[in-house]
Amino acid sequence: MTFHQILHIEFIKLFRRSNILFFFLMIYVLNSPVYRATAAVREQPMMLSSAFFEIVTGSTLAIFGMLLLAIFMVNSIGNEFNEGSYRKSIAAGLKKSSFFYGKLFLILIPTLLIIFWILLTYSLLGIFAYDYSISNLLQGINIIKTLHVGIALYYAGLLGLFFISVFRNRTIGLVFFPFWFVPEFFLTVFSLTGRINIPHDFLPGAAGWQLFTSNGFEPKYLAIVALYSAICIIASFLALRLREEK
Amino acid sequence: MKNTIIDIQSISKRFNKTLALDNVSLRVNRGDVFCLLGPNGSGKTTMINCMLELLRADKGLIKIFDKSTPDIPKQKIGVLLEEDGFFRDLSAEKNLKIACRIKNVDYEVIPWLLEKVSLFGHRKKMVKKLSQGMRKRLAMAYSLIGDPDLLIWDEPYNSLDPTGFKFMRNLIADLHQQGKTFFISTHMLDEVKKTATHIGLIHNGVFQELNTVEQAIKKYGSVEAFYFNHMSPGHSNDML
Repeated sequence: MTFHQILHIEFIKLFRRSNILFFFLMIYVLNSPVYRATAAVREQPMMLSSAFFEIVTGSTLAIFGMLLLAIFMVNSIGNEFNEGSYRKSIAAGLKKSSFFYGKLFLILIPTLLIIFWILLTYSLLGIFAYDYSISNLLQGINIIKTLHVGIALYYAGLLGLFFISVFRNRTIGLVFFPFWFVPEFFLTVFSLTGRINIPHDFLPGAAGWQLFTSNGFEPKYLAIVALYSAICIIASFLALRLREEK
Repeated sequence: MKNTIIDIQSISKRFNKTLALDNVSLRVNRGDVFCLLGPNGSGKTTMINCMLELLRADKGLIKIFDKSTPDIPKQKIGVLLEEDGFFRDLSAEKNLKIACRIKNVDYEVIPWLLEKVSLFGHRKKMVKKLSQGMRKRLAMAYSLIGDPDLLIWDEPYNSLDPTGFKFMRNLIADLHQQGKTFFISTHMLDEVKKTATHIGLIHNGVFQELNTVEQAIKKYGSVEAFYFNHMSPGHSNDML
């Protein structure tokens, strides 16, 4: 099966009603950068574009963006397992590896959508509230930070892919991620403020969050996230490959 | 030998303590309409799942079109599973488009297939809004994508009304005339009499007998007697 065929299949599936509803939910959640940006405009009528960019890509977006990506993957793939369409596709000739590659592509779509939304919020509010020029806007965009955001979001999608491939249970996945991510983020914040002492850098969700919220180049968090990503990819692939479809 | 499309050699499959398939062997030749009979839980679906590489047989060999698992050429096989397995919140047409992409077939075939199963007028409807009978007909269309030489259908008669039965009968006859080979699992004996050329029976995972329909009738008196004789040897008359 060619890469073009795999992309085409995922593209058709993308317009499922459940996915479209999810994208609407995503837009609600993505109001958080808009809210933060408008609050910043109210509080500080003058601001450098780079500082404004940092505000738009703040930690609230990190928590909800990552949570949303993980849940999106659990819901989307879980639907295919539950209704038997995955099994039917495999019986009809879709290779399990092709299905897996399709899902690696699928994570990219909400990831890029969130980045697009961030840049759109930043640009529109920057132009209309702060009168930034185009060159000023472009100077404010932190490329490293944007890459970190993209990697952290993609990584969250991989965590979702890992969970649903290994456990095959959408309901547990939908409940599990909020109860896993949010306490982890709280623990990290407490640890960063010195209230408790735990190796928060190595927690899977918190490592992604740290990467998302860091403004400069962070090789340590990149390495931790890369390690967890590799584990997720290998484990998900093997879980799909080795499992029988009863 | 070169006419053999399906060649199953001594396959066994165990689920925990249950031996679902016990050393099953059978052959289906080109142009046969083979019906695998057996009660619920006898191992019919397990055998189909092994043929379609959804399950791995613990031992034995499955060859389809002279290729063994995991290299069975699925492009040449049309599949209809017991559960419809459609993307419920996608339209009938989009479900067929996905199948076309999987089989690398042009979309042009979709309107023709939908016409063939009398669903063209419902092509934009989401699958979850179609009746069970409509979904079964859509599943038939799905299985015909790519003009496959072999059709493996698991319980195709389930949830059909009398019109559906007639439709299915005509479709099988039409495709059989075109030289297609069928492997159908069912326990609808009336339909078997009307459509099958060959029948076999599986009970408790053990394959009992493969025969032409004529030979089975000659030997046992009827398809029902063939079936019940194997289900309850010596008491087939009581069952009938």
